[in-house]
Amino acid sequence: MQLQILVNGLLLGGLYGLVTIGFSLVWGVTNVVNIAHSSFITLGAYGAWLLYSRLDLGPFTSLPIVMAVMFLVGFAIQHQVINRVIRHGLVMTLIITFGVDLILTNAVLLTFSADYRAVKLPYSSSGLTLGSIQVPYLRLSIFVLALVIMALLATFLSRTRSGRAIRATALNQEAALLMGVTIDRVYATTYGVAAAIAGGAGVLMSTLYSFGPEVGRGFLTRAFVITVLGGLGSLPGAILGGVLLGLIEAVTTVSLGAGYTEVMAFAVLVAILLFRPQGLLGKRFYGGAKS
Amino acid sequence: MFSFKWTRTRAGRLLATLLTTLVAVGLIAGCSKSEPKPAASPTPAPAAAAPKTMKIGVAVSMTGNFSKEGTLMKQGYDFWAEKINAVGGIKVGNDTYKVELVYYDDKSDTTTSVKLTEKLITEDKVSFIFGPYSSGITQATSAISEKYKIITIGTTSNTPALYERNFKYLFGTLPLAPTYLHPVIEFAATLDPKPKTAAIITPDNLFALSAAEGAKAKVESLGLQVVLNEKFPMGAKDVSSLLSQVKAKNPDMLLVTGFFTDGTLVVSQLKELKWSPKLLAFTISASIPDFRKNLGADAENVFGAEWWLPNMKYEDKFYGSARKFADDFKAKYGIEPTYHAASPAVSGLILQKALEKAGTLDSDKVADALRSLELETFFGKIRFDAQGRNVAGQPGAFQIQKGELVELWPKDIARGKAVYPRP
Amino acid sequence: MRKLLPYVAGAAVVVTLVLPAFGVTGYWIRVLSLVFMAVSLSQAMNIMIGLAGYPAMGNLVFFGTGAYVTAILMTKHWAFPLAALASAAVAALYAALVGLPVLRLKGAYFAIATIGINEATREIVLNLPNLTGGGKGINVPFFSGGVHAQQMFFYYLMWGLGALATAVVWYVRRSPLGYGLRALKADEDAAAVIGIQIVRHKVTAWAISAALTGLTGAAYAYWLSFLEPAPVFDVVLSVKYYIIAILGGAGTIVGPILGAFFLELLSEVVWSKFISMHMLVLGFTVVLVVIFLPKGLVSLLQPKERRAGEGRRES
Repeated sequence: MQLQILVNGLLLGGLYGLVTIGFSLVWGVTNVVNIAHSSFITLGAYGAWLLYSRLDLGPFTSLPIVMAVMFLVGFAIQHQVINRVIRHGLVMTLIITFGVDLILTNAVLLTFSADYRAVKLPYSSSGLTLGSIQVPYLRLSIFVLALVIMALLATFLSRTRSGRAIRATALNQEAALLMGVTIDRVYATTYGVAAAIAGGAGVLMSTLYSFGPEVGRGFLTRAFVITVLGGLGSLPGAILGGVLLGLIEAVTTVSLGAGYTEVMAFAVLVAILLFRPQGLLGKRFYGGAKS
Repeated sequence: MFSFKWTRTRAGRLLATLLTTLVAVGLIAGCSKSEPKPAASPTPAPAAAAPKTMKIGVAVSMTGNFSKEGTLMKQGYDFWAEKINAVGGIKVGNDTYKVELVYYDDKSDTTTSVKLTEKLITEDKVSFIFGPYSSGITQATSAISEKYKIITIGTTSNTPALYERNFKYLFGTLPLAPTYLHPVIEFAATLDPKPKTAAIITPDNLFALSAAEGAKAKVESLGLQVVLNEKFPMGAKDVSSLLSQVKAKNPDMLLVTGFFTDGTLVVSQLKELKWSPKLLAFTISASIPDFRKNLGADAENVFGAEWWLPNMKYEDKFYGSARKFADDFKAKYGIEPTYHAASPAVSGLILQKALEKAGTLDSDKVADALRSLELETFFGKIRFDAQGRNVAGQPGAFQIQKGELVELWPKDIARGKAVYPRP
Repeated sequence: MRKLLPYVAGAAVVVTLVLPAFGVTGYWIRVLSLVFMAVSLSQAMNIMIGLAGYPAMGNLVFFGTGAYVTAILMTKHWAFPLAALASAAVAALYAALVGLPVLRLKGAYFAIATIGINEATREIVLNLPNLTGGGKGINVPFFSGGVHAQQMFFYYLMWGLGALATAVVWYVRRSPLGYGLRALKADEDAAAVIGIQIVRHKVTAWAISAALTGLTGAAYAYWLSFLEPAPVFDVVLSVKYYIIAILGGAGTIVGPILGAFFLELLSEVVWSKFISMHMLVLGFTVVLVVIFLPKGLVSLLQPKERRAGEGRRES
């Protein structure tokens, strides 16, 4: 039974990691702590629900559609709104993303009402049985997808022109500018990619939970913790951090009680910040120079 | 990036001027609205001087965490108000009053709700208040309305602590929260084979903890054993680890208090663990139509307890039977009502009966009338004790069978047989 | 505008002090009390954000702490003033304790650590049901007077707290502590080199901020008469006062006051006009203010030539 709890934590961690990748990337590259990240998750979930209930598209079909739309949404928000204030520093961008989050969340509330939605699939709760351990297919596929998306994103960052521009900007903005990189476009692309992944996480989440317009909120503080844990801007770090947090929560639930998960998460957060501020897989220079 | 910046000069200044004006308008509006009026009077206007419209204030959640529940409640209040106005209004002494409901959105936030309650009383001069959603918020708002001697009828707030403060002007339509799961537990004790062990899990919240405590006491009083009694954080997104612990104890019954999403989360994560207790029961969640819609077949054979169900065999002259109320409601709003709407609707009826009896809008006399009321309604029996608790009502137990709620307990409302143990 | 400022400020003080005598309704008394509470809380944050340059986004952890300390002590029959002082002391001590490690962090890391402290403290309060009532909340003894006495008491109490916090910001800015804070805001390493005791300055600043916040929390607990952990340790609430400080203009004395009046009164006007849309409208307001007034509302009061100059450069 103990092993089951570790498996639960591990699988939950995959989702946490997926939720965090975009958040961590935006923070690392543009130095924006993006509060609106949670509403991108919410939008993704509603997108999946809309396609499922109106056009009968399953979540794995709607995943690329929703991600593409979310990329455009994210690109537009960064390009039209956040880029305008980005030079005023973290404090201002934090507030503007909070404003964006208010707008998006309440737009969802007004459009879809507060009714609880779910994407219920015939295979929703089925899974593998390994001895006494249950591995639900959906959670397993979310975990695998998290790894796939991470790998694709890593390829994009290292192999494509836009990706290299993003990396260059993250490492040294002035140098990138001198090399002819258009910073606002890079920022907008980064933000778009992050929104797409968050939307994708929302699509996958819609199959696991009943959700309302506030569904993304609960994941935001976790994304913070995981970003710090894994290392700012580090993709494998986001996944590793997510898995670690999932495991920590699972073990805390069993040893101390479910009511102590936040205390433990915070203790880990402070310990990491104090003893390894660049995170487990982070590089010191990633975003650090700008904070 | 540089192309945007022209806005920071002209439009920027324009906006700045606009904002300043807004603040000024706000201040002026605030003062001008209030200055002509005398200091807040502690008693409502006497009936003779009032126009024939009676205002009832409702600060309820339309946004935030409780927006779903708040919206359902608003429909219940509206349903009553339209119905009573359609038959001419409420007869109070020699006058007949039409009802006007004054709504505000409390954003599911206590501070806001208290502020709005004070606005309803001092600015809108409402005669009565219908409660907000959740016991926690009502606990704070009723402290204000009590000071102003304005009656609050709490329609969905029923933790015992609310009524232990000996308030004179607070009444609660629902029976108290600890009794919530009692019908399920009483029913379980009649089953064959009789369950022997129970696990109880609850979110860490005022209402849910009360319901869990009541459930634990009831389970133990019937000689069953509680093998696990744990709480989890409000709004938890994952309880699989806690459920793995429950599974390890293998109890016959799993009782879950809490709210809608807690219920759907537990059902789907139990399914993932490929385990089910013989009897699985929820508060609130299982009776909400979205539960069956979102969970599909996984919702089958789940038990629930509810303050009111559309097929309960209660009736009154105003609304007709519970079934008729549900059908009329559905015709109007397109959804089958739950207690979230039925309790507000019956609370209107309760107030109406008390006003007819008191023959005045005076808070003290209406409060006395409420305390001496004995009603049979489509919602069940209503009788308030000195602290304002409805001591006559009782919840019922049901099971979801083939997508329908089948009432099972108390015995006199039973419409079928239980599927037990849960396959 | 700048020359007029002292007069406007003086007039505002007089108007807010005598306003209740003109029969303003209980609702507006409460709204204004909430504005003063916002002034107090955002000024307390201002010490950290504006003076020390530490974005203490979860600063309202001390609000919740102060509220709970007062609630617990008052149920043990302490008088409110004593309980409130205890709240301030406990909050300050708590800030000093967690500040020693956490104030080593900067920027967004510090902001997030304070949010973490807030979440963890809420859970601790939830997990001590015998002391705090846990998830079932805690009842605070009622204010004994009638409706009117209660309104006046909390109106002037909140007014006083707002004034106190403003005075503290004013005083700290001019004190050696303030100079030290400004030095370390500009460049922490350089400040250390010239002999400023960084840790002591930061911890003292945070303790002062926490004491003010805790005191306000104490008043809130007595005012509301019932506490639950989630609403008083609410991150969104914390972010709201943070926004008030920034929108008004962090680092200035007038900024948080402007921010408090602007945001609180605006939200009153907005929600009464747009019952289902008010949060949406607020979101747009926040976005627009940040875009057009990135230095806060206080920049409206600044000399015109500076803004005009800025305009020339950018157009």
